[in-house]
Amino acid sequence: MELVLHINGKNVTVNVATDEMLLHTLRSLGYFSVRCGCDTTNCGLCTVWVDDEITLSCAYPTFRAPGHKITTLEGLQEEASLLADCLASEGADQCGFCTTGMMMSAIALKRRNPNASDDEIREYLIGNLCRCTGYASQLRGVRKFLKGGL
Amino acid sequence: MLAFLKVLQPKTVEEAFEMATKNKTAPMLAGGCWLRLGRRTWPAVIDMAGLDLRYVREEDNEFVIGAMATQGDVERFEPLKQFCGGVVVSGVKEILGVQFRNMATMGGSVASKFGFSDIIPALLAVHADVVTFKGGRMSIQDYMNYRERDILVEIRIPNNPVPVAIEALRISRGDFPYLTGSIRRDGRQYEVYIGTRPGAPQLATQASSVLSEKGMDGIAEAAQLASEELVYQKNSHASKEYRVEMVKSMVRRLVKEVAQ
Repeated sequence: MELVLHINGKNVTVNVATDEMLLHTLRSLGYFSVRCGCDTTNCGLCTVWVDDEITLSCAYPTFRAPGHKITTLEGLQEEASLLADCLASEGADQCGFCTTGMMMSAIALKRRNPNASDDEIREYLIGNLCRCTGYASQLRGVRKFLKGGL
Repeated sequence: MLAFLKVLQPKTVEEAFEMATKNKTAPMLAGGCWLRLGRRTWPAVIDMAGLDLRYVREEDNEFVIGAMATQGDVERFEPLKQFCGGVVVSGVKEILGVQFRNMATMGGSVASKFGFSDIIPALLAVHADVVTFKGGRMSIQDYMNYRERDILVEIRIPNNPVPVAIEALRISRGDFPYLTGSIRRDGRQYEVYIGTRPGAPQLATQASSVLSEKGMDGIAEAAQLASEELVYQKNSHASKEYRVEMVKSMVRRLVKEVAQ
């Protein structure tokens, strides 16, 4: 089916299979910040924003996307750059595979509640599995990001 | 994976019901989070997103939750945070991560009648009703045994605050629970519901009767009865024996919470 998607402020026409999920559509379009991990809504690697709400693109059928605003990390470069510095300065980068999904969650949190408590930060990070760091460094990094950076 | 060959996109509940009747094997696609866990390729799915059922509101002294409202919508609805100590919100807040709850719908969570549901024990305790297209309005307790192929339209919760408490026991945060429970105290009457045994939540009738009769004096007896009168089994999350022991402690904690 042919669909017009609104991704990072631009309209993009795509041809997709009926049961294609947004994750695979985005990757086929070159949005490689959106990663495929578990592909069963558990790991958070595929997190994007749909109408500014963090969403697991692995379970979001592409046919539902027209008419909605899709945002990937590629569309949030300024905030992503600051957050990346904060995470790196706190040693939260490690293997980096989970980082892009986690950044989508952290930036969404900042927009929703820039004064989020540590518990609220944890709440937003729970959906992004990381097997390197134990989350302590990410908590520090996101805390720093919410306070405006380095 | 979620694989299907055709998507049916009804615009009204009537149309959805017609499609569901004609396509008996087609699953209804709400949030799609649980269907992802299957391995089947479906000939068709019925997409519920076009039915305009995404709402959470207060109406005629009831909270009304549309079937397509997400768990996140419920979690963020201020009046529900205050209702019965926020028990309905607590019932969704522990489910995986924020992004999952932004997708998983209340209709999908209830209609699936999963044994591991966090939200069904909470809805049982607040005496929620379910409205379906064909069957009309019924208590959620009746809905748990309702087997018709029907469209869940909305959940209605009477705004009648009474002491209720829920608990979900997990091996770790973000995991599926291995035991869930809820309790309601309405004057001297108690109702105890136990889920994830791993079967669907069920009323522990004998435990409830003992508590209604003896109050706090019946707490140990009720805990024991709750562990005996329902069927407990093992699965990948807990053994039968572990569940049987844990339910006793859980019932004691729940009773103390609503007795305060």
